[in-house]
Amino acid sequence: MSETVLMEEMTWKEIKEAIEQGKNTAILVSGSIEQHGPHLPTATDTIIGYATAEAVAKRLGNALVAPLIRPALSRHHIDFPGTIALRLETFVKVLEEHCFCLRTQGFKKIVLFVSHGGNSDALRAFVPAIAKKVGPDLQLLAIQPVEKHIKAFQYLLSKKGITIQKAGVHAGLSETSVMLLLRPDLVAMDKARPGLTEEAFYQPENLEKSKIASFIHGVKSQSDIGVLGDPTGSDAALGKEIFDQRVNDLVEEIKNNLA
Amino acid sequence: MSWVEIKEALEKGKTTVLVISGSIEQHGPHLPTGTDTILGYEIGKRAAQRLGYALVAPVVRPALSEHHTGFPGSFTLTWETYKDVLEDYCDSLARYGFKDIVLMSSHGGNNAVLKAITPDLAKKLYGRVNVHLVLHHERGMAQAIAFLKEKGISVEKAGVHSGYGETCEMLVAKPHLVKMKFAEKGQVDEALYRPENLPRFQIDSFIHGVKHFSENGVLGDPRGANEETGKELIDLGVKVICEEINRAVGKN
Repeated sequence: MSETVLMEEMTWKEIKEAIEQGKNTAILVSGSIEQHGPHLPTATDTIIGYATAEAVAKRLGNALVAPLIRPALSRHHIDFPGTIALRLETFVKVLEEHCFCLRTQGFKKIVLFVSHGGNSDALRAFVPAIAKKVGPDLQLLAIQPVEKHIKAFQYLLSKKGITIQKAGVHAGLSETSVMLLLRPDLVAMDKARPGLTEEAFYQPENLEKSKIASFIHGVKSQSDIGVLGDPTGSDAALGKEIFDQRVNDLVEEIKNNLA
Repeated sequence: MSWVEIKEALEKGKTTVLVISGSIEQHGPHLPTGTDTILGYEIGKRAAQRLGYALVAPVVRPALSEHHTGFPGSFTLTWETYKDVLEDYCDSLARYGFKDIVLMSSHGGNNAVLKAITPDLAKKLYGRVNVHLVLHHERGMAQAIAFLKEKGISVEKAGVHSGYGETCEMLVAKPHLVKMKFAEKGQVDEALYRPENLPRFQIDSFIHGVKHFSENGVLGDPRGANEETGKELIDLGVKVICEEINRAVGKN
């Protein structure tokens, strides 16, 4: 029996046996191919998404990780070379066709979450319709950010004296620290520079407005290097705390919501 | 690469981008479902390095694998969605200063649709970027078959899916994902693999599914596959691909 939970690294027989032995939950993550500042690769969300899904699947014990969906919704990063964006319609079709394939394969449950915030609203909007189409044989669960977990994350940062504008929401201290944990070979810390660090942008009550501004005007209008936050001083140990907390939150949410 | 590195590469003349379609589909009891994706990256990377003027986009996957959905682990897009995905790739890449987009495939099941949709994509992108299609399979496969024949490997052993040839290449690209102890013979009826019969065989596998022709999902016989032959096969393939890309973008 294979140790890995990544379906792309397994043979069809290993996947078949795993499903028969009760690993009938598939983790389906939506990532991105998009710019992540001068210091991180365009595959950042994809790398973090796989690692998160793998850790979650192993903790759950009854799950396998489906091929991560990428590219996805990155229109707001399109001014930076290397970004590949799907249209909303294409993304929803791709998502739906993945779900149909997982049903054919014999999965009973699909847990969906994002490793790229830009996909989050589409997941919320379209998963119910997809669930209806795939029918009662397959349960779909889209995990959305939960208030108490957002608060816990903010607490983790404040305990360490890290401001929200330094932690950032894109290629800032949090994401860069996680990448230093997962793929230090792909992080160029000598190129890391602060991007948008205006505190008001990141205040919880403003975040929705900031996000919509990103979508309308493009991230380039907010930071010409493509960084929302400040990655200087990132470290792998902090990355591990952030990563572990995210995995814990997801496992808790999944266990709370899956029958 | 970071966006700054991509921008700098473009400015230094790397104005061709290889958009390779792979697959997520069963590859027998010994190879991972990501095989075509892994080999797409491997061959794309080597070709781009050899060409000196190209970058490799993220491999497009899943793609068209309907005929493998009889096996768990296979994912397929409908051809309409696949076309939309390619169009979105091209529309994104057209913004950055690439002059040429070269569509390629590391999975035979994509080829016919790629051929059919490329003119439409090229027309839509006309004036922004040149879209080319390079399907090296026909020439590449003939060369690979001739090469293997010299080594005493028959066409039906070489195979077209998870057989000797593909397994050798995977032993180069990702040996830790190849489980040679599970490698077993699949469909090895010589008649099916004759060049004059292959198109019919492929259409039949699209209609009836690969499972109809092989219970274990293997078309060929992977036993005895080895890394040395894989290296030679990859070198051979990359050489053909580079020649064809040069021709496509007018650099021969």
